[in-house]
Amino acid sequence: MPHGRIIGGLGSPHAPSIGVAYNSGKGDTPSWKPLIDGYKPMQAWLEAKKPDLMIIVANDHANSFFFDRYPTFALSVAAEHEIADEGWGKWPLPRVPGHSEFGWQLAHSLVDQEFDIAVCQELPLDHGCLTPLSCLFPPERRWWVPVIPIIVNVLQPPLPTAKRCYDLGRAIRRIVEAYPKKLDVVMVGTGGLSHQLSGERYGFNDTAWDSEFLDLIETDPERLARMTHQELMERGGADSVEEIMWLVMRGALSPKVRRVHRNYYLPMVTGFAQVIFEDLGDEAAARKAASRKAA
Amino acid sequence: MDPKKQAAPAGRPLWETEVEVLPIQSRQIDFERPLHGTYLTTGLRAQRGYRLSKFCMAFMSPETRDAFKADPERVMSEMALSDYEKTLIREQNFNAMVRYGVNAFMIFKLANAFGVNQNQTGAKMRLQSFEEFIATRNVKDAL
Repeated sequence: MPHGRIIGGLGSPHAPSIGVAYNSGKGDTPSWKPLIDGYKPMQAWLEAKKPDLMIIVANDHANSFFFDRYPTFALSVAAEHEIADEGWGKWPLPRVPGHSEFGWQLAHSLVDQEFDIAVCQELPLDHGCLTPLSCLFPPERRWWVPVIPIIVNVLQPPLPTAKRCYDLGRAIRRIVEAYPKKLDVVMVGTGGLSHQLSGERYGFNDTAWDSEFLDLIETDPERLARMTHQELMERGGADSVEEIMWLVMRGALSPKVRRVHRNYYLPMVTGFAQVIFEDLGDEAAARKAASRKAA
Repeated sequence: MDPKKQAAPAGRPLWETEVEVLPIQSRQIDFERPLHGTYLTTGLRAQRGYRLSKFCMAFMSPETRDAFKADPERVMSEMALSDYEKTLIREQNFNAMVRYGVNAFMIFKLANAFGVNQNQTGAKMRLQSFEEFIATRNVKDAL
């Protein structure tokens, strides 16, 4: 029986400066090459694995949503997504295709599982999605995989807990696996590691914590899921709390993963990290199948 | 913390108050351990900053950006900002805007209309010159 499966997870920063640098051809300059080169294995991995769908977990930066009405979690069922004008003109990018059929399934199943997510039929995308998407799909390959954006409130407290984000990822895994059609899904968790973008602490970084975070997201995500926002902000700066979006990605993967890529670069104000985690499937089911075969 | 000091003075609208620390019972944020140089837009602070935040949102429209560049006073008056809010804008006092309750991503939209980029805005939030700030960075031109 065909069914959906999670094939892996990617981690990517989403700072607008990266998308601008990449899209304006500055990827080979000394300032950007250490980061932009880190997208090459990710592009190649996608081309090799040929996912049917990308679920990208990002936050809106007050472009699709404003604080008049601000959802904790939102997902888009739109067939395609406009490019937002964030205040300095739209990026010259084509509209991003969505996946309405699975989007509605995801919406229903998440609410059935008591994740009361807001459902969007129009969702202009800002740099939160467009920086990673730009770099994962080079200009000649835009956009060959449809995308379902999941938007998490990391701007306006109260924010969802780290554990809630991890559990959201686990729910997404269950829903993908229950889908009765072939659907190879790649998850993308977006966000910078240590950084703070306001107050006198603007520019705060901690590279040792960033390195520890990258170890933990791979090998012990539940430990990260137990951290409070206070702890995350103390270790990594106020805006590093957006690392909880990486936990949605990680929660959707198998307990153990195969890391095939990890890169880190801190040029100015944000610790930028990229990872590829390959899903190892349901190990218990795999063992069972193996023992059946042996018998 | 003395709760009396935290309450907004009676009869005055939130955005006119001097309230700086607005503790809330939270399992996620420890209001007894504020981080140096960090002003979370929690609760009443966010509410106080709402009108100025909304003003910043208008800069998503090219028409507002052009109108502001041509005549900032007219745009500020049309949006019915308070005198204090207008002063913050005229002075490009981004640090005070953060303390007032405006999220950084709103401030970046407004700063852009002044031709001030994100890291120049950040330097002002740090109460430093751009040159002082950039000297603390690993790479100077990854803007």
